[in-house]
Amino acid sequence: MSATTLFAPDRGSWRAQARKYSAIARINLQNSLAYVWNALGQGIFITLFIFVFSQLWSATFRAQNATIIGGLTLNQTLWYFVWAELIELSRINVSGQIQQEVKDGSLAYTLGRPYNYLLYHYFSGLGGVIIRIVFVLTFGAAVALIQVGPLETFQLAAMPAIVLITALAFSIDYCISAGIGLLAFFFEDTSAFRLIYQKIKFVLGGLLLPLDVLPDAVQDIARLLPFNLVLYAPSRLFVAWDNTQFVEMLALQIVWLAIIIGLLALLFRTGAHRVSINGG
Amino acid sequence: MSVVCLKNLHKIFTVKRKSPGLKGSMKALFRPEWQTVEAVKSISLDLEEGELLAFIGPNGAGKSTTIKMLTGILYPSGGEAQVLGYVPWKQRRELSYHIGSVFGQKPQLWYHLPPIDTFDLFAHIYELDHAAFEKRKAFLVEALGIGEWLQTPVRKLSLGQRMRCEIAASLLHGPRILFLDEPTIGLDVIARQQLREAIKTLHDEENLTIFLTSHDAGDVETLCKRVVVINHGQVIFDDRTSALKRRFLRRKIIGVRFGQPIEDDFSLDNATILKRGKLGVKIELDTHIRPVDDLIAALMAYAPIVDLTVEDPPMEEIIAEIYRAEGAVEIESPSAVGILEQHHV
Amino acid sequence: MKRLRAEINFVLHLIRLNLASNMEYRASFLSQALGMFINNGIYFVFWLLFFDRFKEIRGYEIQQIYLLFAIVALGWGLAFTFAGNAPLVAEMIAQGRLDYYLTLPRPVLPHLLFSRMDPFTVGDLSFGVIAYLFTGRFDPLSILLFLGCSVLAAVICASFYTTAGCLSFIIGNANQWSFYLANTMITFSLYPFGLFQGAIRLFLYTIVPAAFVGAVPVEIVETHSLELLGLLMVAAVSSVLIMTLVFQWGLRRYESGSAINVNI
Repeated sequence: MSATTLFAPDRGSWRAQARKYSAIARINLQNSLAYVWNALGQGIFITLFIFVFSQLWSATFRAQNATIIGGLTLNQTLWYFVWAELIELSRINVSGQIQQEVKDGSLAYTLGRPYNYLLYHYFSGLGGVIIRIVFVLTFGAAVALIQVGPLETFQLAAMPAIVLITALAFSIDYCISAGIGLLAFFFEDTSAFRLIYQKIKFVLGGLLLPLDVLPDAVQDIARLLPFNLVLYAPSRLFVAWDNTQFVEMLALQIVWLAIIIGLLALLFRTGAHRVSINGG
Repeated sequence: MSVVCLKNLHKIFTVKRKSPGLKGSMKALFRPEWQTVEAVKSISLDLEEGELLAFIGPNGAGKSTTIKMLTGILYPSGGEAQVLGYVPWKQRRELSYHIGSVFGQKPQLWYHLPPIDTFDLFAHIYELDHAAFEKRKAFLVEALGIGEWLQTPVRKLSLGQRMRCEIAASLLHGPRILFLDEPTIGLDVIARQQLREAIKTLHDEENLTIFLTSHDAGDVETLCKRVVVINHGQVIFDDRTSALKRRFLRRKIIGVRFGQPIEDDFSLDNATILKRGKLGVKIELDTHIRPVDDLIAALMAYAPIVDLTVEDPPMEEIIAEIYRAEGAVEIESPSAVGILEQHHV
Repeated sequence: MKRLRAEINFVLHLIRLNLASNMEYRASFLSQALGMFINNGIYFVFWLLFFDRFKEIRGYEIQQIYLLFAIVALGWGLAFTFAGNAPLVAEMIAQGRLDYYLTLPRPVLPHLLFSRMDPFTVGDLSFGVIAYLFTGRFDPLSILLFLGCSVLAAVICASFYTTAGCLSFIIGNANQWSFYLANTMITFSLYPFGLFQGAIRLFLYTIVPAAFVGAVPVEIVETHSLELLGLLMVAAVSSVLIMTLVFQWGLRRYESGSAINVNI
């Protein structure tokens, strides 16, 4: 039997690629009791945060004697946080993994395999993302419902668009995260970068405070950077849909994603080059 | 005087049974199935003071469980034990002053500090008198030959050096029994020899009772006068090492490389040729039928020898043979090894 | 008494050894400490921005936040500087590493806890001190109360984390869960207590004693209340007692071999 008959007839085609990556996603999903425990833990986190936020913000609204702060009502504000935390808690946490593979040299092995390294990690992480989304959304929404009731400005028709923006947000976050992991080519310990990225996201990405509440100067900086596209953009649109804003955010996301992917590819190639010179 | 006395020691574990995959795990969570595993069926053993005992058996045989019961970490499901007059699990703390242990895989020495610092710590742990401790330390350092690297951080020491320091640490408080678990694992030939010599010296000088577990047949042969083999939670052999050798270590595997090609008609009496190449031959020899030196003389007479190795069959094979020979009864339940390896941490 | 003194001496020895051992870490020490600093700093920044906009909330202004952060950071830092193994208890139980301590003639729990010093808590410690400087409370009594409360808070933190780690005696590996519990405590302790009412308050005084790690110490330093100080001491002692009882109970389970992870 010749070797060529072992390969599927459509090897290399789009369909085969799709099959390959969905198989990767599925296998990771199946091995995934660890995912469920992890997702449960994230669910607990969001319960915590949304509860504390609900107390903080209802007190704030009362103290300020306001119905609208930063363009949002209390109801909208809390659901804003639900969505923002949803993204943050469900995200693919890949930088640690990539750092490990760079460090122990197993990256060298995967470079030889016929799939794109970064795509592989993306799809294998998706299983976990989906499970986490289920748990986190359920828990978070439950707490929000109890505290302020359902989202008053919810628009079912807008959901597909919001899902699109959210998916892009995840992707941007993934690429940045992967980039940090790849910095392991050049730095001993990238955990500091990971930490800094997370914290910058918290402030300039709008996780701790909706951007509109920040001082103007800070807001301007935040809007120049891609971080607000990861958390603020999808969450704001979710609670306060606006056609123009949607188009604007979408465009910005696409542009930034392209830039980041470009940088990522560059980083990968430089780093991989280093690996092959130094022999891992 | 009997320092260790075990009578029908018995230990059962109940573990959750878990089938593989996501569904299995969820099921185990909500409707757990319990399974009892008899790790130690019935062990009876007596050790005199000053004995150097090899305690061997395959993985999952119940060795670690037995040792844990002897040191008081685990209490048994049934049976009795006395170590130095103490019941281990009831008087663990008192007993701990008089026993020492070295576990090959679990180091006691603090990794980033020189051994001397851990030694000083142990002086505090065991509340040793300062002057007596200094004398004892000097003695052990001399006996184990570790003076040179007492001040070097442990992480910079080779495995052999580290193990000698570990043994020193375990003996600082003058214990009467020493538990050694795989002390030579991972060591090269020379380091292993040195370690064995050190252990032997200390044993002779102090009349130490030593309880040694090892997968290395060489350890057993050179150090221990008595061997206890356990399998499936029971003792299946308890006798002099010489008896073990006589009955079961009779086979040797001999590999030889000649300086010139072997003739086609090359053959040997009373020995089996396992493999042959152009220059080399692998031979299996039953030393009861033909002694090793006799065979080697014949080989040397045949042609100049470039390389010669004489190997024992692996310990597992020896034990398997013992097992077969003794005809012990097989336990009905699925192998303890299998189940517990699933839960192995 | 002699026994107690011997144990204390032993613990001090462990601490000395830990310090020496950690001096070896110099390089990543600084980068990790910095990371910790940034970590604390960002929540700080959050409150700065918040109070810049909203001025005050339920009786808390930026002043109280400085004090709150100072105490929690210093307390947390002290806890893991000295009882460095507290976060690792869950894992140690799961991996059978208790065995080492069980074969030695010293009380297992203190030996276990103090056998490690977390070198990266320098970030927390320095943050706590610096945050305190922002409060402007430089009178000796306030400083003394601040330090005292931080120590008591440290005791509560370490005891809580260890007690949470004891879950490993029941569920195999409670690493994740003890981490979540500790995080819960830290999160709640860093918010103005006035935000919480009713049942949650009770919860934060008892099951997850975040109130004693943050709110009560702040109150003590601000009002110099000796009654509250007494209460805090009672809370600290109770947390140690609970930890000890839970650990002893769990140890008995461990010795019977009914911990799920078994190693033949």
